[in-house]
Amino acid sequence: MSDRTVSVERAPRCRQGLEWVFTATPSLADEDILRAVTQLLDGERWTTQSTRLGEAVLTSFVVPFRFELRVGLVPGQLTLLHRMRAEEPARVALRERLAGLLGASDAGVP
Amino acid sequence: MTSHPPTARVLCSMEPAPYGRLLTAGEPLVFHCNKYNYWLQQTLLLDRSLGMREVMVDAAAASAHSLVSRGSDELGLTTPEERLRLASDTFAQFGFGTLDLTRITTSGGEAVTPTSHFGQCLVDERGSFQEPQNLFDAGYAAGAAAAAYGLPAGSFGAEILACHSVGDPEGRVALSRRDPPADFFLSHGEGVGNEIAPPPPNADTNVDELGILEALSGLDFSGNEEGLIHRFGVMLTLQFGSYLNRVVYEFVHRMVDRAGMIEPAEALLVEAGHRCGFHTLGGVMTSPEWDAVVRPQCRNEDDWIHGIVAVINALGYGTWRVEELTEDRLVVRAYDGYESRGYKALFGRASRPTDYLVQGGAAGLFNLIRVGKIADRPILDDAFYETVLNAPESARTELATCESMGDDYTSLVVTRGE
Repeated sequence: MSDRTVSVERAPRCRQGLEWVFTATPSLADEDILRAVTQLLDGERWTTQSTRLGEAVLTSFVVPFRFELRVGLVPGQLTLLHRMRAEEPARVALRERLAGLLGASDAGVP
Repeated sequence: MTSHPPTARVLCSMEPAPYGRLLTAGEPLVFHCNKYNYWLQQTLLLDRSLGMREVMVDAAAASAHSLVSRGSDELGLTTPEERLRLASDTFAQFGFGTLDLTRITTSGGEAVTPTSHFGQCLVDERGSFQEPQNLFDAGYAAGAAAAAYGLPAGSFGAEILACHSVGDPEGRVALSRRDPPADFFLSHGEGVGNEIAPPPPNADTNVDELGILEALSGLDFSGNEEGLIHRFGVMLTLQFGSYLNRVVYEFVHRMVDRAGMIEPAEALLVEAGHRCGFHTLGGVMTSPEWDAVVRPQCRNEDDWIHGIVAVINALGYGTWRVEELTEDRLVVRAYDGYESRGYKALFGRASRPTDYLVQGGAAGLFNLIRVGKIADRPILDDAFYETVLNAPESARTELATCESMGDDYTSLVVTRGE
């Protein structure tokens, strides 16, 4: 079992409660975050897009009409954007599942 | 993992126009966030007797009619179905939501918005409005339908049947033919500019404006599959400058005509601009995107001002140039802004300054950086806004010159309070 903890914070400026920031302690490497994303997206229909911004590469993953994940701009951090039409119980379940995957995503990390 | 590409939208080309403007099918576009859209809309609707709800619907119809008409010509779209698709896809691309026009015929029908910026993003998840807020959606549907069937812009009336903002599960708008068509204003399109090339960016900074513009050009600012643009911690729209100008200047005229209240009208609109600067630009300056692109270049507080001015120059507001910057004062030259261009096209030369949005916006960015110390990452909530606004050193902007008055550029003079 991992003793990693994952904080899940609602972005304070998002009026609709759509944006949530996941931060693991101890911090996760981006490849570990991507491993958790891969598990989350398994079996889903999704799209992805990468954009270079300065030294960073922003990668977004979209499961249409349900959610979007953004990775890469802030080291060790993942942003979840719920879609407007996603129902609240599904949103809560998604956040719990994602936090669990991130908390467990330390295989192979020294 | 397997990625599935999104379905392509039918859209007109969007080329950056000279001097920092954004144009598509001849329509000027500017980015605005939900917080500005909220504040502007509530300002316009403060006094019901002004009749601004109807103006806002008709202004949206005029802008949509222009875009769909010219855009259909540009793309060679000939059938109503193709043109209605262009209208729906553009609505989503610009962040207004999703708009189903498939049940619209030449005699009318019902337009549906499963998602809507104006219906859902002006309010937080706990609140709702007393009256529907999807006025833009209603007008857009009416104007788009008229253009799709090759009819004059005022050919459809729009009655709002439902809106998320009052608790409905979706937006619904009934369109019916007006016979004869309403004879309302048309979009001013690109407007009237000075065609004066701005000078190069101020060199007294560590910020590389061209590098910032290049980096931002790769960022996706299109509406997602729900037709919403979630970026910088806010919901953005790529709004029609022609819509904004029509509703803003009509509001001023009606305030003057009915109550002789030009100064209060202008003050309210400048306040909306100040909130735009605070929330939209504040969102930018506290975003991961800023941290990745701009913040590494900032070695002092002045660089933050140059950095946010560089970002503004990517948002469709024309070109801003920092002319003077001290601890207590900022002077910006604004070239080719949508407000003056639109005012001149609508009314000719102005007798007093008309660039309310940028007037408030310049003070907003100065206050965020100099007074609010945004580099320290404060929470940009309403309480912080009030604290900064009411601080003795809170800055105000005066317009020393204005393009709509015949000047070569609009000069924004921001001065810190005593």
